[in-house]
Amino acid sequence: MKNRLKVLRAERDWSQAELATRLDVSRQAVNAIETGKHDPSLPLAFRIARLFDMPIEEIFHDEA
Amino acid sequence: MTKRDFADFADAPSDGAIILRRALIGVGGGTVLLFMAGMIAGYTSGVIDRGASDLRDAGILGAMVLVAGAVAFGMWRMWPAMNDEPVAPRVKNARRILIGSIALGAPLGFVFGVADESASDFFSNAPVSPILAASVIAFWLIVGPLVTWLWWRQIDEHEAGAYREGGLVAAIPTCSYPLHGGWQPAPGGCRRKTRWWCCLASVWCGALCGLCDDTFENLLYK
Repeated sequence: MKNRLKVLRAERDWSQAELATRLDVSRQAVNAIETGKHDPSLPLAFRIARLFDMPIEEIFHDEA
Repeated sequence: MTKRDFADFADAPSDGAIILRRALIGVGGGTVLLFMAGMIAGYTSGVIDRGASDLRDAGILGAMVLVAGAVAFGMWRMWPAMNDEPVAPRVKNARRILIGSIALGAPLGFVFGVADESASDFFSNAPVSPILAASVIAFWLIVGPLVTWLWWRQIDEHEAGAYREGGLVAAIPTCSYPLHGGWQPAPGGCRRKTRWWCCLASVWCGALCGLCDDTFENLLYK
């Protein structure tokens, strides 16, 4: 699954660590999501969407 | 916390330099601590074998413990922070549980080692006392899972995924302790235990490598 997390984070001038703190996860988790190594669970995807004030489908895209 | 600009980075060490310093302190200090632990264990065993301890033994042991404590304190003081980056509360809690487990487990392991009157090493097939075997089983089956569950609730889903397989295999070595406690015959305990531990170590190494892979990628995360 592809996502725009890195772009959205850069737009807000946040580091991975800052984003991780806001989401209450580790920096490694943010890195894994950004690089597509880990697909977030639905609760985490909702937290991300709420944080960026966007619908989930505008952040995460199905590769198919 | 405000974001750093390029002027700040001129004085701040890079993440790579910090990791290298941590590795040097960890390996150097860890080696000294292991050496001190071995000396303390050896001297304590000697004192127990002699059957009588005097003030001189207590002084020597006290000095060894003080040196080990000073080395540990020095490592803690010299341990470089990672560029003051924020850490999520649950990550902090998970780290506290992990450090607390090590801080509690190491002295307990030492006490169990000293309490083993048969003086058998880890790979021997010599029986241990039933009390010691029962204590080890209780720790593996009750305290271990409880602490693991508390820790599991704190780590995030990415880390939980990486540790899942290792956590399941972690309970396997418990099987060998009823054999050592004398409740079951021991069929080649040394080789069996070595196989279990090799299996356990491979799974945990695999999980850790998966996490480290992400960690090293994070050196270029900006």
